[in-house]
Amino acid sequence: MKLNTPVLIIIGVIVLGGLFFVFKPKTQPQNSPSTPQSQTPTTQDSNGTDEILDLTNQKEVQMDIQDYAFQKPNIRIKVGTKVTWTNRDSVRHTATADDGSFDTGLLAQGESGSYVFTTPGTFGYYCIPHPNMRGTIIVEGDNQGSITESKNTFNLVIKEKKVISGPTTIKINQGDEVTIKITSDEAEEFHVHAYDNSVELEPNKQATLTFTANLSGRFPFELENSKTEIGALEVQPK
Amino acid sequence: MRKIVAILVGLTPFFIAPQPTFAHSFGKLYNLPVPFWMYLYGGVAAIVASFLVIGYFINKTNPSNNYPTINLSKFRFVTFLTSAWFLTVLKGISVFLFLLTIVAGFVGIDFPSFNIGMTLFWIIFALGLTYLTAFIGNIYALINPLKVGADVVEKILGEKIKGIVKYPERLGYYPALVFYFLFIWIELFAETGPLQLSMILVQYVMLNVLGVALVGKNAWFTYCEFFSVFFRLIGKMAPVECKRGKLFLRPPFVGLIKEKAEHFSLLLFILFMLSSTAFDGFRETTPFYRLYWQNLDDVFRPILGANSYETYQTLALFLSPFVFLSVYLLLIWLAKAVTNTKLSLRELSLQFAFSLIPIAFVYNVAHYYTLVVTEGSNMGRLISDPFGKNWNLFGTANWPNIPTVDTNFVWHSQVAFILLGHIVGVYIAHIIALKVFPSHKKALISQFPLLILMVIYTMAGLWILSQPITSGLE
Repeated sequence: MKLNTPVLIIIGVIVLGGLFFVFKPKTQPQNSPSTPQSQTPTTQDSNGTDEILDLTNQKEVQMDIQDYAFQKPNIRIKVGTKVTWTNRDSVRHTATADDGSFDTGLLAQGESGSYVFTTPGTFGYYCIPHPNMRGTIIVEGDNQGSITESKNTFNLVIKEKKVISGPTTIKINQGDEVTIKITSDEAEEFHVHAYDNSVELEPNKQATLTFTANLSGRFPFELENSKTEIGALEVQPK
Repeated sequence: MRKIVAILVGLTPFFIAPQPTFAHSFGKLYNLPVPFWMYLYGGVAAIVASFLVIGYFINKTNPSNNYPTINLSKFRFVTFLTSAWFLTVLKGISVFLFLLTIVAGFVGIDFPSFNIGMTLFWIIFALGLTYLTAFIGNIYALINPLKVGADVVEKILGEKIKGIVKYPERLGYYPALVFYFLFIWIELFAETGPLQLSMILVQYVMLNVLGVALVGKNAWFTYCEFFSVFFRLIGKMAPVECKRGKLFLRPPFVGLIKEKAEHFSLLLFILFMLSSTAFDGFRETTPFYRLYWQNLDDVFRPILGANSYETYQTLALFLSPFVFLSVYLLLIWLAKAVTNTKLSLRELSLQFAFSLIPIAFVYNVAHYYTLVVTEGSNMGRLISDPFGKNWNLFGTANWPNIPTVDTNFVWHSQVAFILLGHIVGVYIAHIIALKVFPSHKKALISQFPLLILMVIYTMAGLWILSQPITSGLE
């Protein structure tokens, strides 16, 4: 094998190009729950509008993803509201929270993903394949004080062996008590690795799994019967 | 002999290709990504350590090929360990465990963590023996069950198996590299169950029979049987060597500077040891996922069709050693340029190849060692109930499993392992440079490109460990 300078230069360029892809600056903020979006987002929304659409009177919100944009980029809703995104583009999109709290997964044309917002706060989200597509959802608390769920309660809705609502990565701290409520469209068994906690799922009936997270690490949870990994529990050490 | 070959060739249609599910064959890693500050700290420490190693060498003259050894065979206990009788016992155990692994797949429950075959093969053999080999030397060369089988056949025939054709030596280690690639592919993507594992092992036995018959025992186990090549490379780091039937203690890692890689394929093999582990870590991370869905999906989907993400992963695994090779050659070329040496690029790249083994090894340890604890601790239970039939042969069927290793400990040990490999790599590269370059000054200058190389590999290893992991996105 004979390698001369031009060949090496070409190889070098390829490698540096590859490294650029990997290390290139992120175009959207990283998963950082510590830097919540401002109440009135002024930049980064795909339609160039700052307007916040008040939908606090609606129990369900339908939103199209079209022309590489979320059609209602900034909305205000009440706790408990279900937001459904439907992709109208021919390319695949996601609606993924900056802090990982929800993720529709990749939606092909015509497919939908939804999430029920159970905690008040401001949630920035984007599309994984097209991070310039951004949106913000402001979730207002319920005045009746009906939010009984603590911060370590997570609601998962599973459809066709995929999490369509709720976090795919559940982040908690070691020692926390965690409650996972799961609703699946088919009979399954929900299983958390290493903890070996399981709960039987009946079709469209909510099942609850509560335990103390005393092991630190990253533990996938899966649908045991079909061996499908649908997410993971990340327990930060003390 | 030809008849046997013909029969075996006739059997090849029964070879079974595993169905890829693009998930790990066995063992779940429960490691959290290393915190970012620890990654930065590790990177800085790597650079500082490199300069300390170089500084240590500034006034050192060319090292001789001699190194101190201690004859261990003067101790009666060691003599016992190297006796023919004890070796036969070891070989027997090895063959027994190999057969047990195969049989377990056929008679045992087809459920990975309740069948001893999976833990024996993926954890005890593939990981455990690798780590053990780094300490006690290439014991696999002595107890390789496939080789033991060939030895027995030789004894029965009363002659050495020379093979039908002479092995074309210019092929080098490429056959081993191909098998190694297939092995890693199965490990990472095929999610084999116990039964499939056993069928693959049976196929591998048949392949070995064919290979030995074709090119002879020596050539096959030197160039083609990839576990032999793999463990031989790992064993070079061990502080133990065997000469004329006697065991000697030696300084660790000197095996890496005694000889150079004699064929380009061996360099690729070492780079694949490095890159396959790096790839396995990388493909779980969010950046790998983004790299595809943001930049490559539009390019690949029209060409590769529906399974483009899976094909892309196989392709990325295949290309991974070449990415590491490009970086390696680029910096070796730089070393050649700054030292103005007459040695060819190929010669230089072979000379320094073994200095990458420690880095490849620590990548593997940092990435997988927790599996040896979490999955290996199932052995107590599995020994009593190897086939998942609710037996309790030795009363250990209810032995507890160690589910996790403390996360803080995992993080610190991972960074420490990567740094240790880095320091050893830089150190070995420097000793090689002192041997390769006649002038001490040139040797010193040549170190800077190599130092950059090691820092890149180390930073890449740490960076991968620190990246967030995707979940449930597919």
